Amino acid sequence: MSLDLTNTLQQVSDMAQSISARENERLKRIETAIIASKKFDLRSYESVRGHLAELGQSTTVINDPPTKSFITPNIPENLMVAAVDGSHIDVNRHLAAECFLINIGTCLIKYGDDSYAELQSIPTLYASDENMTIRGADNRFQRIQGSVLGIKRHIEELKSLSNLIKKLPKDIPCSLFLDGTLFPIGISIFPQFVRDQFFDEINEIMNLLFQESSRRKMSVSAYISYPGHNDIVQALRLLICDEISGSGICKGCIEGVKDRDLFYELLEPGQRSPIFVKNTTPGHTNISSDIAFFYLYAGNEIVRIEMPYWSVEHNDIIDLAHGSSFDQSIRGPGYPTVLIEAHEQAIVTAVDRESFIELVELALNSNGITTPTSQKNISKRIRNI
Amino acid sequence: MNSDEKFEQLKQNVNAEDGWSGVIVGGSLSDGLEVRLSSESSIEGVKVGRLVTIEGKTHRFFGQVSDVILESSDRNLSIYSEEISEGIMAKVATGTAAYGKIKVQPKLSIKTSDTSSSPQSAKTVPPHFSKVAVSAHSDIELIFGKEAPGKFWIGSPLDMESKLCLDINEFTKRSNGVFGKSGTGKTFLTRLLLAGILQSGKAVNLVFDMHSEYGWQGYSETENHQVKGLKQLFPSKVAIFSLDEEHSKRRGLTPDYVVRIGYKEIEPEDVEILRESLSLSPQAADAAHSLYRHYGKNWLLEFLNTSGTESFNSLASQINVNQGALSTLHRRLSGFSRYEFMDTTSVHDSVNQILRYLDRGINVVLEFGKYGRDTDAYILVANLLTRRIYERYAEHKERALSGIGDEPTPLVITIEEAHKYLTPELANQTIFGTIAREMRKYNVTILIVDQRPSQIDEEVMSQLGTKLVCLLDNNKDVDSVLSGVSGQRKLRSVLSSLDSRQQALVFGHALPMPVEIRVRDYGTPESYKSLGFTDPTNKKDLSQINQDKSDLFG
Amino acid sequence: MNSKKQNRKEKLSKEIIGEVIRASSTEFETQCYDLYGFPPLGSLVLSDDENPIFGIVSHSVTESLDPSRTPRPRGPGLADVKSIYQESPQLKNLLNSRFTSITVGYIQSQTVVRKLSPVPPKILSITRISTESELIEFSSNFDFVARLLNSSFASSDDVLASFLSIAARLRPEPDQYLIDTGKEIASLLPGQMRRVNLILRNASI
Repeated sequence: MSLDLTNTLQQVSDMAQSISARENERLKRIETAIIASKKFDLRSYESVRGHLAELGQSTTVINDPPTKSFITPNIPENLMVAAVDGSHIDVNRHLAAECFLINIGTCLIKYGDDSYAELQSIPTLYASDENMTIRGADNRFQRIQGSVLGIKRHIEELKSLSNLIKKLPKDIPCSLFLDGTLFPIGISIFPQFVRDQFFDEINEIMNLLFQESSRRKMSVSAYISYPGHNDIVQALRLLICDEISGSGICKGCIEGVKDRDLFYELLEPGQRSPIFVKNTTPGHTNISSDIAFFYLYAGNEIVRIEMPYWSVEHNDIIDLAHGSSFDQSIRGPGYPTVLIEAHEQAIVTAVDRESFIELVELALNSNGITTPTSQKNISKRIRNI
Repeated sequence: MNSDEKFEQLKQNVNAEDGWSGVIVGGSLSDGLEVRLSSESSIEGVKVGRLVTIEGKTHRFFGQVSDVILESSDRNLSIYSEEISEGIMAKVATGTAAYGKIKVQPKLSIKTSDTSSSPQSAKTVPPHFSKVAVSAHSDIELIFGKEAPGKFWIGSPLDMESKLCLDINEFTKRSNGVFGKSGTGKTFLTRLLLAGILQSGKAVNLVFDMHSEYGWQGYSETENHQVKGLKQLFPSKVAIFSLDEEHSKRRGLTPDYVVRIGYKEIEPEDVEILRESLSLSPQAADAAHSLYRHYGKNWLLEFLNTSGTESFNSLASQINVNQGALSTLHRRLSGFSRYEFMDTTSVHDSVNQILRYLDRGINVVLEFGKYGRDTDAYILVANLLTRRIYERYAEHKERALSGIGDEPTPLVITIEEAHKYLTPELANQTIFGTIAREMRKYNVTILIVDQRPSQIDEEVMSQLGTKLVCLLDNNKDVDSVLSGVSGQRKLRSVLSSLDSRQQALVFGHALPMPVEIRVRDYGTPESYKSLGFTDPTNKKDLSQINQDKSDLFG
Repeated sequence: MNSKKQNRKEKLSKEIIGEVIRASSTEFETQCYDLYGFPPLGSLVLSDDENPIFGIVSHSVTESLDPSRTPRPRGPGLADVKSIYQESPQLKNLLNSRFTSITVGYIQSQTVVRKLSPVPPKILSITRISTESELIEFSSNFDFVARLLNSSFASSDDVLASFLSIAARLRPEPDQYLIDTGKEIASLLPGQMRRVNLILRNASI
């Protein structure tokens, strides 16, 4: 017996009614947010930010009014575009061997004269205890699997990206892309020794990238489609919300509005927002966590482009990121071609997963290791009645 | 030369413009072999009658093309013939989907390992896919022999340059025939045969030369000029006798002997043979015998001198013959008195003279001059002389058999217009019928030169050893010539496809297999030379003249 | 393909076009190094390892490497295919050209044998286009005709025609060559003169 759709249908339709009821409310809030952004006062914001910084709270750095927009810049005719994406096969507890696999796909496209492309995927198997564990100084350890593996993979993607740059000719501008956020999310929930380990690795990579960026014209863009962020909306709230400032025009009136809703109204296709900076530690830059970002009307949606924090000082790099992101999303279409291809290289399909498991079992068997596969696993693979 | 090399050589002949080759794909010994032509072959180069060589596994076969057929492997070829009849496709289809087939009648075979013996008649057929090609010169020589003393070059197989030779020894062992409707070259062929016999020295000729064309200057109808006679080519070996001295002299010839026939020499048999040409009833012919009994040797003159109704009546009653028959006989025989060669002298020396020459190996041509136009005279004289000569030969031979003297030189008597006196009714009674039937019992054979073989007695025809047949268009004549020959149907098609000049089908005793030939040229200086003639006006050849003289005068 | 790689390839040999990715006794499939790098239909190719095997190009395919990803039409605005490839260089990596060759012979001690090879080519053997002299030598004997006609391949007649057309052009008298081969074809296809005609007509264009 599979899913009882008749039963589900009623619930779904109830949900739709409820969403529809909330939609009008949401539109009103977006309207309010737009008005707030138009009235945005940089000096007031800076003073609020200053207070909060003293309290140790980090806020988004906004140097231009959010309503300011930038038209699509021209991109160089000869341009290298590269992207990295990854996927993984998590530890399978039904499998005799404990191991996981990270598959990194890369795509490199040269536009202009003698255009060409290079696609590659590099799988890496992690099976040794050493590779699969993060150890702290006091004998504490963390197995890499589940959400930890997700962060590990993200870091591996960044590593591949920094390696990819070495392959690129120095004399041609290049635009690098990552899928999703620039830095992994959710590191903060882990114990200190795990966080330290991750930040150390990220630090190293970002330092490499930083060095490279001084040698060539290069942008690094983390491309976030349908972003759920509300950094700018939060900034607006600091100025208008009673609950926060006590002197605002409304009470909780723009809560729930996303940045993308706002910029959808503020930007025309191809345009980007001003550059914002997210500073994790007030008064102190942190190479492994601080980012610069902007919103871009690319294709049919607002996307968020995150860049290493140092990019903010270089308009040509921002233009390169802006222009190539927009160009790529048109070629896609809708989503950057180079990311699509990197993703295609990285992707691990269900069939691939099955084959991987079989391969592992075969290898174990041929080495004389019996593989007591769990009954659940067997029943998943042998589908009969 | 092994058979493959041999075949390569054959194929080289084939690669000529109209060459062809093929392989056996079926057939039988009785119906002939089916040969598929190779795709390069030109079907127009294949001619019925052509001699072919088939390389079997252990035997080499020789045969003759008897039919040429257009075949197609595609039943629907005619439906789309239009679209494939042009350009490349036509060339592709030719020899593949549309190909030529020929029928070959196997005649002879010889062991490939032993080509020194002579080919035997084929008793089996070569296997499938045996290669077939036009016979090479060496094959022709293998089958018919090389030109050599006793092997007389008579012509070439059709479309070939090879010399095809006739074994004169075998030829003269039996009586033979040269047939063909008038104007097809019988005379030329006969003249060649006579020259061949003469050259070989195997036999001597006695020619009853009806139209004076063998001995001294014949006339070529095709070339429209005079051709040399035997006497001109072989002056020391030929003597010309004449019945009509004046005629001979007009032609610039002094005959060696002028033949006279005495009335006394004519016997009732001589009249009998004329029965048909004189339109005599059997009774009238019988009357001659009665007259002979009544008058004795001088019966004819006596009878011709009889005149007046009374005398006739009394003679009729005396010899007991119907008076009407007698007077008819008288009327018809009185024509003899117009013959100037007849005289009342009791004994003439003609027969002895002829024999004297023949004994010395000198060939005798008897020219009839103006009497050549008179069949009666021809029959009378030829029959009369032959009978005497034959008797003498018989005596001679009998003596030789009992150990006295040598055998007489074989004699070949050439006669023309045989259909007038070798008819079924008369054949038994004439000396020629006897000779034909006897083969060479007394060393005498005849050579019949005739245009109506169908009217010649079947038995005589069947006794002819070798027949040389030029174009015949009367079915009865064709039937009679081919009667008793195996593979008649095929030969008939060959025969009917002969050119009207200088071509002949030769078959019989003297040849291992029937063959269609282009008769050797006669009448050109080269042809005379090839026959051994040397121009006496050429000083260098004086020795030859002396040789001739010594031959002539002993 | 970057230019450095291209140079290297040219150095190796101009005619090497790909590698064998599937092989059986009767045919082998080659994946081309270059997109659309397959030789014309009917070309004579060699899988050139230690046992060189002759094949005649009988079927060429260009398609997405990933069967679940089909090419997306770029719309009528971009009629110029060349510029599409220029603008989307990754297409060359996502598509691949392959061709199947009917096995028609092999080389044994430097002699051309016009029979099926005792063993098929090894996977990843280099495939190259035959030289003119190899083609002339190979096509000078008509045994290959039967191989092509008897192959289970659906369009083998057209393949044969294309091959003949290529082979004929190398000869001083192309028509004569077609006639000679035509006779071989006709003898192999008795009663099918229309088919023979069609083959030759296609070959002589």
